[in-house]
Amino acid sequence: MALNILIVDDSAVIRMMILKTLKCAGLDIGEAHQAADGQQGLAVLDEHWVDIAFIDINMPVMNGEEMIDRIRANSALADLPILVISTEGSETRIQNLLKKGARFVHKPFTPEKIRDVVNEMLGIGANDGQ
Amino acid sequence: MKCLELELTMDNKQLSEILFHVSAQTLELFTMLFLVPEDEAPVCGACSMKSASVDFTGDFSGTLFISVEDAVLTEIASNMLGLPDEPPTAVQKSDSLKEIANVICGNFLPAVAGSLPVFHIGAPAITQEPASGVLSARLFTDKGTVTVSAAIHAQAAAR
Repeated sequence: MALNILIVDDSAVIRMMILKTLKCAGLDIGEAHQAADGQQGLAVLDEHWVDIAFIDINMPVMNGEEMIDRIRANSALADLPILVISTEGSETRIQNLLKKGARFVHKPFTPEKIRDVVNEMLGIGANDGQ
Repeated sequence: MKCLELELTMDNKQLSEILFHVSAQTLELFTMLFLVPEDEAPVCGACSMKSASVDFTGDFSGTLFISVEDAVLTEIASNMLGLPDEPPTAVQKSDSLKEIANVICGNFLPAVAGSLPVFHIGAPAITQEPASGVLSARLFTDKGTVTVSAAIHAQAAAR
């Protein structure tokens, strides 16, 4: 089944890198939505169903933490799998994100790391994408 | 010489070594640029350079700079974006450099201050100024040289 995804990052380069990484990892990507900040990301979620969201933390307009709070407060989206991909190095902040039910991958990431975490989050078997 | 701005046990040389290792890891993992010995890096005295900087605040504040030769930046952007057949645009190159500055900064701060302090990292920006700062690292690649530096402006008041 193809995955509909949302990538939220203020860097267009990172959005492209994540999308490229997911495709290279063999994941079947359906609709790939992109947003440059949390507010844009929420607007996308209002209009489209996605299976997983990749969210940065430090963004203008609305940061990733606030976006995640809004998602968790919305009953229609509360269970959305969220993978935070960020340079954030503070364990305090990372623990806060984990408490919100998000997973965390640190930049710089490897394609293998992203693939393994996504597979685990979505319950995709090790051989499913091959 | 002790880094006077920081009440750290590390001196500027040690901090620069951390900056070097963080930068090397970021380049290798994110851009597939690998370091070579200095005498194997191409010498390009009159190459055009591109620079970016990113400010940070927290337990201490400052700015991290990165400067790269244009050939290196083209390679960085191509590898990050997966563009084997077409050269990256000027905007893509600028965005790539800004993101590299952001990632190096985000990894440098906890490597220096530990994982508990919370820092705010500002939006990276292209700058006309070349990399300059007390803490400095030069990284030689087969495409050219990358210079990363950091300046610590102030330390937050004791809490």
